[in-house]
Amino acid sequence: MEAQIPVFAIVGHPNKGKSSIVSTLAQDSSVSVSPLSGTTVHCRTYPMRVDGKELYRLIDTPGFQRARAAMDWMQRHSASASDHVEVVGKFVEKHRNHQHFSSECELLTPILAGAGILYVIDGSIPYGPEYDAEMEILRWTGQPSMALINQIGKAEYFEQWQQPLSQYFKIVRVFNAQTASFDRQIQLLTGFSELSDDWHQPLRQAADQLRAQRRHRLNLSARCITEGLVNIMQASERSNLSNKDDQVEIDKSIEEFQRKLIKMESRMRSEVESYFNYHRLEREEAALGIASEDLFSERTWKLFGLSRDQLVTTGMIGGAAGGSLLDIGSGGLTMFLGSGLGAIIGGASAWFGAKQLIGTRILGLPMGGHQVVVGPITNLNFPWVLLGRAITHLKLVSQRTHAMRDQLEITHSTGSDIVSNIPSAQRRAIQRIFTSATKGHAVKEAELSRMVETIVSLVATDPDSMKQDKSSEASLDTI
Amino acid sequence: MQKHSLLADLVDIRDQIARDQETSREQLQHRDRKIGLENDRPLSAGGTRLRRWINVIREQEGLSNSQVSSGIKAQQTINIVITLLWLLGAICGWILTQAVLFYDGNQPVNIISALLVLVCSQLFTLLLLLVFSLLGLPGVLRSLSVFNPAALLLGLLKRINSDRLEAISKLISSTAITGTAALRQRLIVYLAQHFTVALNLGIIAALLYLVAVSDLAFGWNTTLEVDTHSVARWFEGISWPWQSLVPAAVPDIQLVETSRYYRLQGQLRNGDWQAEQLGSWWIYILMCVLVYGLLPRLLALIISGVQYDRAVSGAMTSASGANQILARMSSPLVSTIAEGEDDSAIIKNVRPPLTRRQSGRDLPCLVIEWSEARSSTDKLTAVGIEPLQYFSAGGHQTLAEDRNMVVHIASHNPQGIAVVVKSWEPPLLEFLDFLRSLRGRLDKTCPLIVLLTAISGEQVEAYQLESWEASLADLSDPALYVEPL
Ligand SMILES: Nc1nc2c(ncn2[C@@H]2O[C@H](COP(=O)(O)OP(=O)(O)OP(=O)(O)O)[C@@H](O)[C@H]2O)c(=O)[nH]1
Ligand SMILES: [Mg+2]
Repeated sequence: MEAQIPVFAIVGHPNKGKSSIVSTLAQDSSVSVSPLSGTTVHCRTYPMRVDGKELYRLIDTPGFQRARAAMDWMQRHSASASDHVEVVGKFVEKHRNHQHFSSECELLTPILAGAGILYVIDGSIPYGPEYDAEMEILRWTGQPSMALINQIGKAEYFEQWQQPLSQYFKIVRVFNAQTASFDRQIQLLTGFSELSDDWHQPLRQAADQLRAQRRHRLNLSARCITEGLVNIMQASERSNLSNKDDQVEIDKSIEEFQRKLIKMESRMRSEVESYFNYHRLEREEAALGIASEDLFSERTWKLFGLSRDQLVTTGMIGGAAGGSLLDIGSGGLTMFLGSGLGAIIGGASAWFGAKQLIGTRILGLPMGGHQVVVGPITNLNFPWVLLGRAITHLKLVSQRTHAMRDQLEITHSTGSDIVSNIPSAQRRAIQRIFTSATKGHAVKEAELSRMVETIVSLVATDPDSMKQDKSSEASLDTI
Repeated sequence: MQKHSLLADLVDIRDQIARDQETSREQLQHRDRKIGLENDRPLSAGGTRLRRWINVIREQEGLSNSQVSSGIKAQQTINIVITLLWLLGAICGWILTQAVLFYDGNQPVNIISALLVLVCSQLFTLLLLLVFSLLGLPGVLRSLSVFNPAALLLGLLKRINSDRLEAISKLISSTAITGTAALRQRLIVYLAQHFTVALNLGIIAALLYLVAVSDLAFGWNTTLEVDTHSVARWFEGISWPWQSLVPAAVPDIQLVETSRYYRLQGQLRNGDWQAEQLGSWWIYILMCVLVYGLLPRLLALIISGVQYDRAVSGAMTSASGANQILARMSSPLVSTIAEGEDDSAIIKNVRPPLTRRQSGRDLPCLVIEWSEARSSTDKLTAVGIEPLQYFSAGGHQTLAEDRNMVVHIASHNPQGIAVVVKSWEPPLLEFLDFLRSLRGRLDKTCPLIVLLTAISGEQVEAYQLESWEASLADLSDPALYVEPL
């Protein structure tokens, strides 16, 4: 049983991205990757299991360190071409317990046990004679093999590699460890079945499962966003006031409320990341500063939220906006007057100015004293900005590979037009959810599911990623 | 497997979801997928699957702590409330009937007001309930709950025993996603029906009691000029549902006529009291209460019970987190990550760094090009090295050829040796072996200069230099230098 599952040893010269490729394929950020060579010193296994049943396994290995010397030993111990496999076996047996050939023994052991060979080179640097001994040793093992051209730098020496690689490997594929899209990863995985007919079925099954898992993750994330937004739109903060006119205290509770929202949003981000196996991803994102002029500048509103025209067509400034117009009327009036006519005409930011965003009410308490209630946020564009940010984040996370170790940067430009591109029927349906949430009404499960679907479709059919896929396919064809 | 009520399951599911916040996603996935594989039928309704899930969880948890779950507590509390409502209803019915049918032999009981109080008032509230729930005006219904005994009792109990009711009030406190506002309404309406059914039973019991232990006389009167015939038709009309079933409970015209009385005369129209006959109205009242009081309320109890159940089931599947549970149960657990610990050598042992070569006049050197790394005289002189002769090592050379070359070089007694390597390739142990064998044949002080060449048209990157320096420092050779070319 164990012998039948496909096993792949990812081998090659040091520092060519072996661990990076494994990291991407196994969706595991815990794999150590470093610009220094000799990072991986022992084999590490990455089994792919579905409900505990193993479908295939990847083995990350250390790079060759003394390939020439090993080849030399093997040549000296070989009588004819027919004993190559045997000699490699003898080599490992002889040197297993010695430091000298530890890398070679480590990487050859799984191959001798039947693993398919995935030989990784870096196509951004030229070919050189130092690779020949490695490839020759691999050929001696007699195991099915495939070469993967990774691209660490920008340059392309693919042509130059073509000839030497084709001497040793029947199959050569381009696979960029860091930028490979999910579809490319699956394509590569199913491509491994070319190494052996027996592997066809388990790899196909594995590919199906990985696709299902991805759909599942997108769904979970979209639901997390949907429910998270409803919760944020419902959120409010109450605190007692010693004096109902104490602006300092009121400001403090507004700040408290903001912190609460920021925390809720950040928790949403971490949850989405954890669905995709990112547990300690560093994230760089402009904080959800409700009172921060920048985030709530007209530009940001346009990038992440809806335009004012769209707000109107979404049916908000109809009845629903009545309340928020009043908000502007009460608190915003002084601002309107102060900022002058120009601001009224030109500045949507005045419309959506900082403090008018949050409904703040002062309540008298039956036992005396006052309470300030901050929130829920009544501004109509606010949830759309949140949604835009969340979808942008989900998109980036879902398209990221685990070989990428830099921080996740969510910039304004990456999020442009996301929510404005939602078809108007769906937009209205989502607005209904936001409106009910703000009013504290129940939202029907069916409506939530529909919003989840909308988000998934926005992330899944991403024109950019499709473009990327095409170009990498093209470069694959040339090989 | 023990079966619990829907409400108990709902409360426990909510509780468990809240508790699960502290558990890692991986653990939850494992737990729920296991439950899913063993117990789940993905095609059955969401509520059913969630109930099966909570049952398994309760069993698993129950093994460790044998305390009663808050869901079961909540259901117990509801049961207590229902019992109290039954008692209360029955007592109210009894007292009400005793009051309405009070008869001391002076004046007959007014049959019309008896019917108004015992039957019509009930029909009226039922009608209100019907209209508001059909029109979907939960707000109105909620404000009316001031008059609702169930709501009142819940409010009262909350003051008395907050601990018990905590689960319920938590459940009832509405948040938008969980849809509990509807649930709260259904619960109160459902509880109220228990009260009213008990009320009717109390009325019937009191009526039968009065009939059994006392003599009752009923009559009717009015100030208006009415024709007895039309009054009789009214009474008859009301008794239409049981006309053929219980003919004895249909008042005939004669009875109606005899029952009319005038208080001024203090007696009945026909003059003489016919107590037996007047008493026979009780059957009519009994049938009225049965058909217009008890029966509709029983129906309402059943319907509101169904609606309540449905609301509980609905709240179950719409609880935030419920969807995730179902997903965890039905989606295969796919794992791709590493097995075992990572033992990579990210942090290397720190050696004293290599020293820098003194720049001065050109050093005459033998140049070894490692693995076909190319250099040129121009470049070499630019870094203060005067190339005397070029040799090859590494790459396609055999180990024996390398060894011979080293012996050959050593015999020249060189002033210095430059080894040109590719900066873009990492330093391998094989290269360190080579340097060691060189040093073994040379004088300890003979400078050994490793020169990094870049790919043509590019520059040696700082990180490349660093990585070579770090590796070569392992040799602890004071006359070994690394420089970019
Ligand atoms: N830009 C870019 N960098 C890459 C890519 N693949 C690998 N790298 C980088 O190349 C370096 C080496 O990658 P590793 O995955 O550690 O290489 P390795 O072959 O496992 O190295 P050893 O374990 O030392 O043999 C790391 O700094 C990676 O970040 C890639 O596709 N694009
Ligand atoms: Mg590695």
